[in-house]
Amino acid sequence: MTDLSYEQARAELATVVEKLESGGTTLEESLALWERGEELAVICQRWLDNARARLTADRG
Amino acid sequence: MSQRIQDYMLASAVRGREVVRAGPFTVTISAHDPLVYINYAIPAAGADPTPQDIAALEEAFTSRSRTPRLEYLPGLAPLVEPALVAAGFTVTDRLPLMECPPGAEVNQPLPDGIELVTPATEDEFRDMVAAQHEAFGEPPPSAEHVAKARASGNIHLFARTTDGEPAGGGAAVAVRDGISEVAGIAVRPKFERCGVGGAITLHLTRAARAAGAGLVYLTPAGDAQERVYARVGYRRTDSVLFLTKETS
Repeated sequence: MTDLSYEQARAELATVVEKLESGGTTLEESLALWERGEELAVICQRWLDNARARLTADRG
Repeated sequence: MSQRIQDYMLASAVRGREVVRAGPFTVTISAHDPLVYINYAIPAAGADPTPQDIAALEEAFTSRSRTPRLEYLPGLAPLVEPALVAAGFTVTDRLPLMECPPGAEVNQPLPDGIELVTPATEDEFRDMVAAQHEAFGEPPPSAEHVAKARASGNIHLFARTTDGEPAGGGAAVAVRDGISEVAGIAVRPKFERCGVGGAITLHLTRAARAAGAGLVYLTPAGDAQERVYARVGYRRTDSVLFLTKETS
């Protein structure tokens, strides 16, 4: 599904958010962090959507 | 063993975040970002929350403009789910959790013509990550994706044919507190159904143990993957449960 697990993606996302919050990055670095954050949020959501699909299938 | 995984997840959850205690719940809040993935609570093992605890839990989120949300291993706190559902929470997702007990690993014959190597060079990392992206239906990796994999400190394994064609790959997360998570097991479509995924999983599990992981776990993405991991020796031990309460 993705080369990152939910837990990995979430942990990296938390780090990205922390870096953005702490400031001290150039505009270019901030944009790169933002893009990576968006990418990681998509990965997390993909895991959850997949889990939801399985949950729905189990419930029949 | 689930308690150790829950402790491991809790350690990640509190890092860099505001931590609020609400009865038996540890609520972790990202001060500046309402993203649901980084704002959630974890109950203590054996928690039996009272209506007051649940009210305090909701208050901890809503007073910070966050949606009440939990992520935890329900096997450790079985009374929490029914209590929260009765209080209006909804189960949104449930990720299966599998562990491979020490000594449970089952040998997986490596298909003829396939070898497993620890990627070391730039080319090997690029080929491995590209094989993973192809297997997961993602666009080809950027140079940043490859660099990130190289710098991660994780244990990687690259499957290729003996004449160098990439077949798949995977990783075991760098061991922390004696725990490692196996993730990203991927096999390119043309190499599926010949045992490559099982062989990658087995060798990563053994590598994680050799690196000091007494506990190795993973979360399968689907039933087919779960069957592969079961053949290697993994067993479902719990799940990660996601509960939320939408507020108006």
